[in-house]
Amino acid sequence: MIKITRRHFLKYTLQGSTAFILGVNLSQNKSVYASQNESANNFSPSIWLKLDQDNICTIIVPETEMGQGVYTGIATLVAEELDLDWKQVNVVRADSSEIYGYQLTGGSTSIRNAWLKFREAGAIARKIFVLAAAKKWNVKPEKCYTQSGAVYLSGGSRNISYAELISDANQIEIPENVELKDPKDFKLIGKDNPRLDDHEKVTGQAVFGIDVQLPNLIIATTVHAPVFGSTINKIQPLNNSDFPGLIKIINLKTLVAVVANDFWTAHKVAKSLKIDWDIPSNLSDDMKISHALQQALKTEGELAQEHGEKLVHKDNKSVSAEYSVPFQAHATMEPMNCTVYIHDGICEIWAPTQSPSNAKSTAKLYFHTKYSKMWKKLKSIFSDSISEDIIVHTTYVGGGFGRRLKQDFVAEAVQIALHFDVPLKLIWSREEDIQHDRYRPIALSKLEASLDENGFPVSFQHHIVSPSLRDSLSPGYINQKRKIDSTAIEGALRLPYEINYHKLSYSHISNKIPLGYWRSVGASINAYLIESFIDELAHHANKDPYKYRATLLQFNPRLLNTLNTVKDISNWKQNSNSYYGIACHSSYGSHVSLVAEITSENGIMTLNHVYCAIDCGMTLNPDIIKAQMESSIIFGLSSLFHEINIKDGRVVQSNFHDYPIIRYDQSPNITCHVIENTQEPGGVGEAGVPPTLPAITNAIFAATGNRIRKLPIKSSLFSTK
Amino acid sequence: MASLKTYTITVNSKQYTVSVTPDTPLLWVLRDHVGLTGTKYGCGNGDCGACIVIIDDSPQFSCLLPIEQILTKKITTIEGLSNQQIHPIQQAWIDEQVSQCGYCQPGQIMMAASLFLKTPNPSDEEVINAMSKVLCRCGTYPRVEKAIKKLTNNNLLKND
Repeated sequence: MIKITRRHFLKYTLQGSTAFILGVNLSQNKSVYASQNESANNFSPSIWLKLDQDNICTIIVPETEMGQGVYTGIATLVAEELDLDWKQVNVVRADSSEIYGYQLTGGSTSIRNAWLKFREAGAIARKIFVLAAAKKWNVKPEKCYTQSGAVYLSGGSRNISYAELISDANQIEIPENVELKDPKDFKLIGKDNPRLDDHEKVTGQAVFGIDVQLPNLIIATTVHAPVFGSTINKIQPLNNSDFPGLIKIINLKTLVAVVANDFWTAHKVAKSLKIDWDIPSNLSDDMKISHALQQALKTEGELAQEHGEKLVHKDNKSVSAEYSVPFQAHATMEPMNCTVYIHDGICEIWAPTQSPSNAKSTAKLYFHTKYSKMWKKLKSIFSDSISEDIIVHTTYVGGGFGRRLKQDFVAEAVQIALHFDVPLKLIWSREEDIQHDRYRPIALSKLEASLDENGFPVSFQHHIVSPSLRDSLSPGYINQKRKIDSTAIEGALRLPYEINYHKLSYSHISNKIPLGYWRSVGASINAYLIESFIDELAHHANKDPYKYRATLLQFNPRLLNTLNTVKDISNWKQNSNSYYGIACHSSYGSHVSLVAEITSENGIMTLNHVYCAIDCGMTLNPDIIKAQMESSIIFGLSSLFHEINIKDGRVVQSNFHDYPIIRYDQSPNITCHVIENTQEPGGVGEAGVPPTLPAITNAIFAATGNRIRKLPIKSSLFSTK
Repeated sequence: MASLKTYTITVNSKQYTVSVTPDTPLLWVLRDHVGLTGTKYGCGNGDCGACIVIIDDSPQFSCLLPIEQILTKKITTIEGLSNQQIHPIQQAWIDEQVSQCGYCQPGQIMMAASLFLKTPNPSDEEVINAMSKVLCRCGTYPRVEKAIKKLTNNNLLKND
């Protein structure tokens, strides 16, 4: 690892004297108010911003921009504390250098992690400019203030831009503590600053992974074993002259790579290939998986949580229900792809990845195996500098939703590129993308509750059965000691409601279908069935589902506040022609309540409007929060209608015609209210997904009396615009 | 036996000569041979609309159009929509902060552009028919709707 100590830092900045580059101690998340006695050696390496001669500040973002607005969000934090105007802000994506630390964008963590860290980076830079100006003018720093990328002397007699202070600033030692702004003084945080990536994206200039262009680039595509667990027995030879532009067909045991001058040729060859596969016995299908889930549901399960006292009277009414959800694909609009160029002893990668760090460690497995001798020798000569022999450039990402946390496409691209001395871009066809995803697990749950004489639950028992996502990603995760997958119980572990007795158990089933993280992970499943079941309880109690929840949320003020807000903005049950469904859920540090409003005519429903109230603490950019809620609602709604099926050991669906995501004419009106408060920021990329399905299915129940306990349902039940 | 042929096509008023097989779809000619990557691959079946370009005056799925069929046509891609300054549709997209991941937006914008080429005031039905051909996994539809309404109401594209 390259350490940048303070001494190194000063040297570094002097070399590049045209720019002011700042490295500060951030990775330990130490308080900005920490004592000044701390040794300089404790500074961890980080380089987050650069201010140039044009007074433009480039902020280096160690997170992947996949639509959630993280470039804009992190830039806002720096610009706020550095007192920049929005037009002075520029962003670049951090590469995979170890100085930036471990990089993974997922779990709605970016802003929660960046909130203090990047404000500190801005505040320290600001303080240095103030000290530099004060020294230049021979005044006390307290006499100086900053705005619009310049330092001003109180009284307005003098001012100087940051750019003009660069050489002075580079002589100033990094202050060991700084004060962050009082939120009441925020000028950018909490405002709807326009996205920094929008111009590129509307003009077609944004470079996604699939758009990477390099001289002499060749294109590969893959044919994965359609049946999971198969290996290649034989690839039937082709008449190569039928395919001008075909370069090579490579057998990678579980997949075939076709390399050509362009994607079209590679794709044509891939479709023409006759491959004999060695197919495993006992192939999985929906029936067998469903049977295994049902069998496991009959067992006790492993206890995940039990609290409170079970005080059930014999005259308590008991209610129980089973709910099931299917496998789901991510179906990102940009299919999996990765570009690799192996040259000069390094492996250079351009990837639309959610984790350049994991992409790098994945590439290492293949690159260092091939070049291990040479690599060891080079390392012995050049020591540390060669540790960066794998470089990952993270491009814009055409939708992530958790899919790009898995680096399978990087592993494949590196293996194929090792055959060539020119750059190679691997592009999966849409069919490969749908059929070789890492799927959101299928799951079955049984819920049971006892209701007191007022109809409120005194006990709530929940048994979840699913194949284990984490065991699929890391085989052996489920073992003799660990029988519970933490992601499978996500969203079910703690109920938001005040209920005397709560018991949660889990059973896993073995299965070979590859699984992965899918936007809001376990909460995408558990919020649906818990919020549906709560609705069932309200119905049994003959109570309004909003009031029922509100009563049970008395000790959960933030979620209750969102519930009350959404009830108000939706005019809950005010329109006598409409049917309403409500749901709420807290996840990723945020609290979200939704109301779905449906009308019904001749047995065809119309989803008119979805209302949303979110409390994600202090708001960084309310318009982006709203956009993420709109996005989550439409993503959630999509999963009401589509599913991944398994037949003969393989995925049935292959493209958007049989995995139909929501279209413009199916999209409801959405109104979102962002609640302001002073709590720490929560995540917003996922928190809107969990309550979406139950709000809608609860509205369907209100409209039709049908309780939706098995997903998906037919989209033809709904009208289009 | 297929063989490579040399073709000259006109994209955004500029001529490009490429050597490809006759069945190569315009999408891959643009992306892999011309080097214009704003037009996106999403499905290869005409299901998602990420590849929409304007041919003469109508929107076409470039993934379904073999190069032989478009040799004499006028092809406009997202890169050619705005010559000197940003196109009013692109500006409306920025004003409404439509883009999220942005991958489908060239297709969305080219579809909207072709709609406004036909009429400066498309009806709701025309908008729905057109825009429902372009998928967006991020769910930017409510903002696409707002951007188009704004363009319609303000007659921003009347003389375009």
